[in-house]
Amino acid sequence: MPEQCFLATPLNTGLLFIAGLTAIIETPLFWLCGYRRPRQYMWFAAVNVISNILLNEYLSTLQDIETYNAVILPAELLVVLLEFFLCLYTVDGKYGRLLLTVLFTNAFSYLLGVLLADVLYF
Amino acid sequence: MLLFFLTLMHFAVDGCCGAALADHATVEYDYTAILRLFALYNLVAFGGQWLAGLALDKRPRWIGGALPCALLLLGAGTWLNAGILAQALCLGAGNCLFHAAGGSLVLRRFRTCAEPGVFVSSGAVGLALGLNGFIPDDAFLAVCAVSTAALLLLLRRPGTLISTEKPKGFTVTLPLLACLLLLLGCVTLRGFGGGGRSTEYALLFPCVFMLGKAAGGFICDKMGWGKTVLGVFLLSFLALQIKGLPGALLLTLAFNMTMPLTLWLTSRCLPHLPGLAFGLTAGCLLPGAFLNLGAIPAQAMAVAVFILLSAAGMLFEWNEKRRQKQESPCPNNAS
Repeated sequence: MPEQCFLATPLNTGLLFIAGLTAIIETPLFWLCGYRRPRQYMWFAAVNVISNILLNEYLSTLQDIETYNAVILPAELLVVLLEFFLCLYTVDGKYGRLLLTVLFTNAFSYLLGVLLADVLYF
Repeated sequence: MLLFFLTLMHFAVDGCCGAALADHATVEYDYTAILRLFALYNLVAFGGQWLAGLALDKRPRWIGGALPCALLLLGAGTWLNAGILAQALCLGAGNCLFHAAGGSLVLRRFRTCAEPGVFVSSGAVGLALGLNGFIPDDAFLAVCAVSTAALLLLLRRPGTLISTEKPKGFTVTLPLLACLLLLLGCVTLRGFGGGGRSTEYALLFPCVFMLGKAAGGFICDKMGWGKTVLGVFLLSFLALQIKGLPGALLLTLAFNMTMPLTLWLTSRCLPHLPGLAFGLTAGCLLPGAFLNLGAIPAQAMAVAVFILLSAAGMLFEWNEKRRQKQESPCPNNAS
């Protein structure tokens, strides 16, 4: 086996940029929803980066637009659940409120992403 | 000592089955017959464990008899010249009986997560050694015989076979049932993850399986359910960012660390039925062995496993708190 196979490749900078952008949009919204302890919103920002990288890594493996359209909503729902359960490590109780907040921040950034894509590409 | 001999016997039983199946497969020219041989073996070995486990829960004294029976069946499967399918049936039944008895014994004897993890860890290495023909089936059988004798002696000691009665006030509630279903869903999902491994690393991946299963239990005992599940997820994420062999090994390690966790929490959901709990988790691996749904992307697998384990842990904790509250009502309300 060639030697380079054993070496780690650096993280895709494109994915990291998109993840950072999403965190910049979603974290202030999370803060505005009442989660104002630094521990809470900083963890949320980190969670956002992780979930976004995983989502985009997965989406980049899809071959055609039909598959993309079919999986995007279930994948986004999985991301919401992932972020909810990860946020539980810093947020105590009030599960319903946290779930709604995560759902809201994700829906907002998704819609903003769709709008931005329309503006930038057309 | 009990755990040592059970782990050793697990290694030898899986190794014996692997070696005997490989022997049969090498003399068989028909590919369909080979597939049928492995399918029948898997069906009996994995699918029968819940039934055998339930029987041993109802009659715990049969555990002592199940171990020599398993040895006899394994011997018949290896040596008996009764046709390839009959031999696969014997091997599957022997494997099933041993796993149900051994699993039931470990879950009865130990309440922490480390011991079930150690018990299940050795099978993968034995299977790899057997399937690749590194050790002959006769040698594995000899180890099985020695382990069985040692286990039978240990079982004669009072207090080894702990009876599992239903805890006071314990009922299978809806959250507990949901927790159980989430755990079994997680095992089923994980069953689809075990894709083909490169033959270059015939022993490397099984060793990582072993390390992951053993480490998962110890880490869970040390750090608790929540932190372990989070650690496994972060490890999976890290592994997905590393390409090549190190990434694959790290991902395999992370996924295998969840195995003792699911087994342990399943047994906590059914504290009076340890054999059934062990058998159900084994049975859930069957869909992965039989249904060809294609490979589930590793990213989706890591996320889904984390969500399922977190939700299961949350439901279990909530149910436990509610049960404890019901058992010991607030002193202010007592009057």
